[in-house]
Amino acid sequence: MKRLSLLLPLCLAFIAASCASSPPATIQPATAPQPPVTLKSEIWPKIYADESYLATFASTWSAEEAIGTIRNLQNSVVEFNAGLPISELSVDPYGMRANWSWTETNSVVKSASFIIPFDQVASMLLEHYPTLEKDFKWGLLISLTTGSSVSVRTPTRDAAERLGKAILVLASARGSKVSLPDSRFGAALGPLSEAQAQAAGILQSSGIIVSWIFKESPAEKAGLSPQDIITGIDGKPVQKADDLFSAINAAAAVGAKELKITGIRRSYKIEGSKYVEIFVPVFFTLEIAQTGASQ
Amino acid sequence: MNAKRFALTVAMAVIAICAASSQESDAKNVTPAWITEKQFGQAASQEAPVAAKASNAFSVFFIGYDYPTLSVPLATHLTPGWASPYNFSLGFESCTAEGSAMLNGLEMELFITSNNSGLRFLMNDMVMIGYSFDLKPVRFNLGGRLGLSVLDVNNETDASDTYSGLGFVLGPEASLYAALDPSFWLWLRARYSMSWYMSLDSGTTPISSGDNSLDCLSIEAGLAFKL
Repeated sequence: MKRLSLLLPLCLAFIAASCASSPPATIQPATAPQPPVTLKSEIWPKIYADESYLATFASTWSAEEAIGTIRNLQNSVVEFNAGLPISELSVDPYGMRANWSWTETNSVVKSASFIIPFDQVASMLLEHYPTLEKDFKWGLLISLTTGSSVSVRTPTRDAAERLGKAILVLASARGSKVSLPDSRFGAALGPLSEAQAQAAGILQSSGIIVSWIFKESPAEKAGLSPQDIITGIDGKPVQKADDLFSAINAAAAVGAKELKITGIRRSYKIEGSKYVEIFVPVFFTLEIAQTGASQ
Repeated sequence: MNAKRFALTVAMAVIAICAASSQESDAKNVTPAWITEKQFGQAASQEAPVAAKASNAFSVFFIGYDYPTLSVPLATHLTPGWASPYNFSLGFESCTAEGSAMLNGLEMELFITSNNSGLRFLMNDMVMIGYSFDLKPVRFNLGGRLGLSVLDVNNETDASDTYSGLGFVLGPEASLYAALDPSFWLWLRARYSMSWYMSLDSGTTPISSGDNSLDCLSIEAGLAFKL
């Protein structure tokens, strides 16, 4: 039986070799900086994948031309979620009505519709959905004075802009004051929250926060980014959005070409083997457009 | 006068340093935090599929029955009297990547006979290197094994037929794995292995007298479980 003791070392050798052949655990290179364990992004404005473009929808169309344009776009406008072409479209000087109907796989016929009363158009945004895994990546977001909104998608930017221009002509004809992004700045601004001010180490009243930036806007060209804090313009403090717009309009009135905006940007620096959140005093050079007005 | 001038110079320097440190940077040179955070997210999502891919690579523990057919000189001392009903095979096989890929593994082959004459053990511990062809839903593996072999015969009726040998074993093999489930396989293997032994005993044994090689055709079948 002692001969059997030969087997024991071989069995042990087999087990040891089995363990040695197991794949090694993934090890991060020691030199790669590690992101912070908890990101502090929740107190800052959310970053959206969808993009809003600065569009004034300006045109010289008559109401008849605008109605004709909308009718011609019937095949270029799809329902936002399902991406289905319009089944029935009617448009007149009072409003635009669209219906969609489709048959689902279980033979159930479904339908959707919207109505845009031209006297209730409150605002319009030219939208781009780059991450949408479908065609028709452009669109229009129309907000109504009732609080509801209508979103449609189009295959091209041109189609979305033509639809926007036509709606603006007809809405203006019905007396609507349609709010559009200001062409001299092009950003959505809001007051600083207590948490944001505390994180940046400033008083809540000593700045305003950028919620998002319109593409192709002067603000984007100046390098502004969502989550930036604006604290001053042309050497004067900015405590509310009006301070900024007044300064821009005043500079435009005297023919100024550019303005210096100061602010604070949340960023990261690498400290040893870690990323550390920092707040960097920054400046932006805003080019002043001589047309349009900031609001 | 000199003291005043020195104090003034120091004050100016302090002011200059403070002014320099409070100056703003051009925003175009400062990366917003959300862009860095997006990169953290992208890096994390890239690492996740890599980990998932690694876990999808063929990697199994197998166990099964082994039917050996022994031949060449040493076999005459082992068959038919030592015909072995208890023959097992177990081990691991892993691919280096998902799909068709290089394959490596370990196997322990154990032939045990226990009868009125005594006990006989023949054990092969082998490493394997080969290639695995992913022919969904089956895998065809080709490779070769190399390892150590131990032969231990304890004949209680004939002391001259009691001996031990230690040798090495090598041979080609082909296996077929059929997936019954993503984590459960049926397998079949054929291997032709050749072994050469040295005797571990003093005195005359079949090995020391020259019958020191043993060939074995192993037909194996069993179950394999994803690791």
